Amino acid sequence: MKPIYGVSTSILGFSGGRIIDAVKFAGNKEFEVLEIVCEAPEFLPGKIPTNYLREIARESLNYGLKLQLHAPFYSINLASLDSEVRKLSINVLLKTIDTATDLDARLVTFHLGLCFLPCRVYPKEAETVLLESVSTIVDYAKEHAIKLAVENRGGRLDIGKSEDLIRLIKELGNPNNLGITFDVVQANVVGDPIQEYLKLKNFVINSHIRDAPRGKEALLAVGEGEIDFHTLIRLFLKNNFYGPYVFEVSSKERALISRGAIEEIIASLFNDEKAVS
Amino acid sequence: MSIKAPAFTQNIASFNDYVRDLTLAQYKRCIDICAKLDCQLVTIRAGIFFYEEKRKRVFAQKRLLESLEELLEYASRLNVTLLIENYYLPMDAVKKVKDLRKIIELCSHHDNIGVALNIAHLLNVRESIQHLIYDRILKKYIRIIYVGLPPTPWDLDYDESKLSNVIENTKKIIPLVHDPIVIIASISMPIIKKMLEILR
Repeated sequence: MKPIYGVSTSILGFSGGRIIDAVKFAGNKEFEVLEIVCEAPEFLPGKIPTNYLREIARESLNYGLKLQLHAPFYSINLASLDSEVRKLSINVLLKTIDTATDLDARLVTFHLGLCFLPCRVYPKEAETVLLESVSTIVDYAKEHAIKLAVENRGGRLDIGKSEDLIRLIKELGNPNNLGITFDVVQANVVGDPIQEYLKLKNFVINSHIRDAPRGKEALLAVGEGEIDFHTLIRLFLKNNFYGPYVFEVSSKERALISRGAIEEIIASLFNDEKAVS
Repeated sequence: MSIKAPAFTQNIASFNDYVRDLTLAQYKRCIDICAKLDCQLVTIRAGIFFYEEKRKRVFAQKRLLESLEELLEYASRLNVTLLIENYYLPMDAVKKVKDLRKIIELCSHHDNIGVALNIAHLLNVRESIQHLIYDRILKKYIRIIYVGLPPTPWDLDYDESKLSNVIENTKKIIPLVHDPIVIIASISMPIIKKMLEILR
């Protein structure tokens, strides 16, 4: 099997580039997948001009590029005990699924939210509303033939540590359209990315590949930080996870460097295997 | 009595219209509640500049000011004063004394704007209290002083080792402000008692 390489619109960084520029870059550089980070002002689901959506869909098709979406996440909180915030968060997720349908994107990555003071004081209630929120979204996604991938998160207030995700998926009855986007750097914030991957490996259907110093968050290219990608990629392949490996880095150059680095690692792994056999 | 508006995911500077509109609606309801209760002060968070807002900072500042204008006008009709609270996260629009000063200057054509000074947040962003002591104008706008422990009184975790530092700074600020309301903010009753005892 061949690895599937993708790139995130995070490559636009502070360059002022637009999503359509990322489509052209990904297409011209022969990535197979583009993950669009849906954020205002340019790409807020429900507020994107139809013509722009069509242009993106058409260009992607021309390049044979598969699209997938990353739902908005700033101020989105599926576990909020404020019912208005929770409703807003669910609606934004449903609109993202609609946008995915319009773009023929088949996968949507999302965050669960943050555990602020009310959630910390009433954790059981927060867990109950979180389950209800995710269940609503999973059902809606199923009707639209969309796969959802909940992302592991490492911040102090983040809901989405490995154990949280496994519990959530199990409590929802392991729906067949819900998996995990394994974010290497978020795992690095919590501890050892290798150990975190081993906990989540049975559920991983998508990945965010980037590098960072140990314990830190960053959007660096593979090799610029301290993550042991050699071991991680070996485990990915051993587990038959061939991607998408989405390079969620801060520039186009970093995406290209990262792909080159992963290709080298994979080549060296095959060489090692040949030498052994 | 004063009202502290919700300030977790709320964001009046957000580029996301859904988030901004909901925040404005919730803040207006807080102003309504304040008026119904015959109180005059509503504290709000001035906004958060996440990644997208940082990418387009000038536009984000404009959006923040537009939202503030709308809220100040609404509050004015109900005789309510809006207090801007300094926050403590790197992406907060108002963290330091200079941020408070700037926002007050930009809204100085309204007579119903003020400041809710959060001591814990100031200490958390390593702001020297001296900046405030020498700012003659800003001091006049302070109506509430939140006295709590870093990193923030609005969460469960607190650093008790910072208690004496908080008290020292509070003692310096209180005499500078005309008739302030000092709110002891903590989720711990022993801490509240201790602070109250020392401050009294």
